[in-house]
Amino acid sequence: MKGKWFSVGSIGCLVLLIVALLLVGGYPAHSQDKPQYGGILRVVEGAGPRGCIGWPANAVGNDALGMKPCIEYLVNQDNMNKILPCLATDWKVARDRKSITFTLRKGVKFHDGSDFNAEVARFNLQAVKDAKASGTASWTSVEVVDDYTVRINLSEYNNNLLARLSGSPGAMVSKEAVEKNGIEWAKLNPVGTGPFKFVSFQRDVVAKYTRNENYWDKGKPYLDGVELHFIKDPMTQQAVMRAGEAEVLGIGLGKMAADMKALGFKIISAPSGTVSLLPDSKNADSPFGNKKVREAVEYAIDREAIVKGKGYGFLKAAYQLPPSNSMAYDPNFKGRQYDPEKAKKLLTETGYPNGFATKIIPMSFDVDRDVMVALQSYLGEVGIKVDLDFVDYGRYSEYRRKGWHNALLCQPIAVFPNYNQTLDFYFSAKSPDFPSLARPAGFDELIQKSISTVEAKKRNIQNVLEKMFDETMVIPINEVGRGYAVQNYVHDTGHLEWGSWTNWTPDRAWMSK
Amino acid sequence: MTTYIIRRVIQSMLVLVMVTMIVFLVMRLLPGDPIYMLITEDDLIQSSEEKIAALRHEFGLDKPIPVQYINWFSAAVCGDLGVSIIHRGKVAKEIIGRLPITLHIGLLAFIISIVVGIPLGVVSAVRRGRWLDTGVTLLANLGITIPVFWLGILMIYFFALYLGILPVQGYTSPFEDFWMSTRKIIMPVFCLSVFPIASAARQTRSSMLEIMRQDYIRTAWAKGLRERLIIVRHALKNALIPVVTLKGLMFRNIIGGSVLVETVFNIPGMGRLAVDGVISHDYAIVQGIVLLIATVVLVVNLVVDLSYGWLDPRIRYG
Repeated sequence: MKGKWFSVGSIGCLVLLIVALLLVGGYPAHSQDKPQYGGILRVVEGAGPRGCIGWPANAVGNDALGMKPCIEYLVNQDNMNKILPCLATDWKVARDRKSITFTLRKGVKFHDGSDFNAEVARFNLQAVKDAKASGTASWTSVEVVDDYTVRINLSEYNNNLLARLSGSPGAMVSKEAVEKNGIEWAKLNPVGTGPFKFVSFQRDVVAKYTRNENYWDKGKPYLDGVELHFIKDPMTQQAVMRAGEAEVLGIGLGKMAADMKALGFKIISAPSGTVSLLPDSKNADSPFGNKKVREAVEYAIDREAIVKGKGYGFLKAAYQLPPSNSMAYDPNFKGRQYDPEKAKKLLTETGYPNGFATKIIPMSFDVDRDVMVALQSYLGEVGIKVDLDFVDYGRYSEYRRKGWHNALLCQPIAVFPNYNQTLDFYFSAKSPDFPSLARPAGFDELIQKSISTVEAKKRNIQNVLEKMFDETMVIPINEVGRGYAVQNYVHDTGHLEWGSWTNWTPDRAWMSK
Repeated sequence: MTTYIIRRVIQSMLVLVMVTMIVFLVMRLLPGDPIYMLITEDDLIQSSEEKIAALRHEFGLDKPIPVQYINWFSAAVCGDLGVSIIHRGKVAKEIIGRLPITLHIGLLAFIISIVVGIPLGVVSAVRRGRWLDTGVTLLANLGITIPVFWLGILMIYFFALYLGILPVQGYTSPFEDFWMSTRKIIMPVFCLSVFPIASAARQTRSSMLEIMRQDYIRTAWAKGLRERLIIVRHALKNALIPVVTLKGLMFRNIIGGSVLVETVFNIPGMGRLAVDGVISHDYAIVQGIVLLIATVVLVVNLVVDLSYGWLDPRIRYG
């Protein structure tokens, strides 16, 4: 009896203690709290837009960063390839797969007061088609069906098309503003429907936005404004966060993320791809033309040791091409584990008992130099003498486009939420990328089968990946990713949850400070 | 004098043409195609050979190098420095946007280096062997050797993070917010002026010591002239010639030498523009900035040469 009383009492005390702790605020505010209004969110990125933040047809790379607070897309896409409504509330793929018809949101106005409707959507879609923007090659025409319905007609369907409309090709800007002021003006003066209105942009310095009081999603946004600051130097980036001069900082995963975590910032992280070696397997006189040599390379590399040394707990070794956050990732897949003896045996079998000389050409800005030195060392241990040829982005792009000889290119293979997009982008027969990389017989048919279904299917994607593994087409090394260090009073920024790293949720973000 | 100036101007023009020619050629001999620097990974895969060729044509890169140079130079003479390959904007506009920022910080640092460095050198020479001389010499040696980016980082940690009295980074125009502008430039100006102060102090000290040993200075002391008069009128004016030469050489650093400070303090100035231009093979940007720096150097050299005549009337121009 006494024991039972003691037990009930101690549980009661524990509950009271927890309640008391909660009441005095002994837990961090998080997204379950009621959002508060006010404040300017300052986001720091290492590189900013080049100069086209208001005309989606000509936007490239980081330009989308400058668009996001003020321009909205037809649809949104989450990391698991779920397509969600935005300015289009519904869409239908025709039975013959020769068109996609979008129903548009009503009552939406651009920041200049003009209406968003089917004609404006057509104007924008036509502009990206005319500019031959990425992902529009199969669009034959764009037509207005009625005031709030627009249709894209297609020469051929693939299940990446909708995903593309969650990026620049699906961005909607005011037709009236563009026609009145011209495209050159529009490039630097975005007029969208988004939660924030554009205020100013100074290249390499800052882009500023203020709250859109007439935003169609009533009650949002919560913030008074957003500022994107562009700071190159990592030390300065860190100091800005520590001094409280910014709320969010875009970082690479690795030491910087570990340092920021140790300083007490929240870290949001997600893999963005897989650093991989791409052999010149197509050249008949290259050692990499032999599948067993490619396998030997894979067995020779101790990926676990590499990520232990350089990952700071944020990176994983990669034995398959899709990173662990991808729809195509197989958690049970083992791949080719580190086995230098097997590597040596394979090299002997292929007529290279003493190895051979080759080089690794890394995509300098996107891969870790120390990892390249580690690769050089591991391959050296099995007799493959490697020179590291660090070239600039332009020279690397030339290799990708024109081919390379007796070498391994090394770069991250980016993950798209629909992994078909990754496969199509880098490896399909249509892609001019990696001309020195051999594609085995029947490989492109597998890709085409996978991308032509109405929705992406994991089994089809894995058929492609299995073929790639069997042929050792590419050699994955480690996952890479992006991260954000965030002040603890910042909530619901949505960074790294929406397909592309440039997409986030400025409309939902709020601060409890 | 007039004949001398005309001759120097003509020589300067020839030097200018040669400098632009060399830079033009060197930039094009660097490995890497600027068009491939321009296109993103997305475009790299989507762009056809025709599109890449069209881009090359748009920037005139499909023409022979001598033709490209003649086209660029003839446009530059008329004030058109071309279009940036990477940003697609007018180079002249880009430079005009950044020059005031660099001049604001650079000129302040330059003026401070004169106002502080020369008196320190004079005091050090006059009080040779005393604690003041030892102190100034020590500081000057530190100032010469200290890496500017390291000093910048230390200042950020102390003034912005530890004391919290100065902002970490950025630039605000004094016409927009004078107080904020001043707070933001204190650290960069200090960092930029440390080396020029130290070098000016050392050069002035050494020059002054040499002059102070001259007979006419000894005579001035013997005549019972006041110390201030001897130092300022008789010694300093003659000691300034090497200092002026040094300051003339350092003036070009205002435009081209501030890249580290601009990077650490995230200031959108000319130094960063130049370095980014070289890294991204943005020919037009690099050529435009080199043209500007070369012009500034040539003008300053001319002014320095002319100032010798004022400092030492024995110098004549033939």
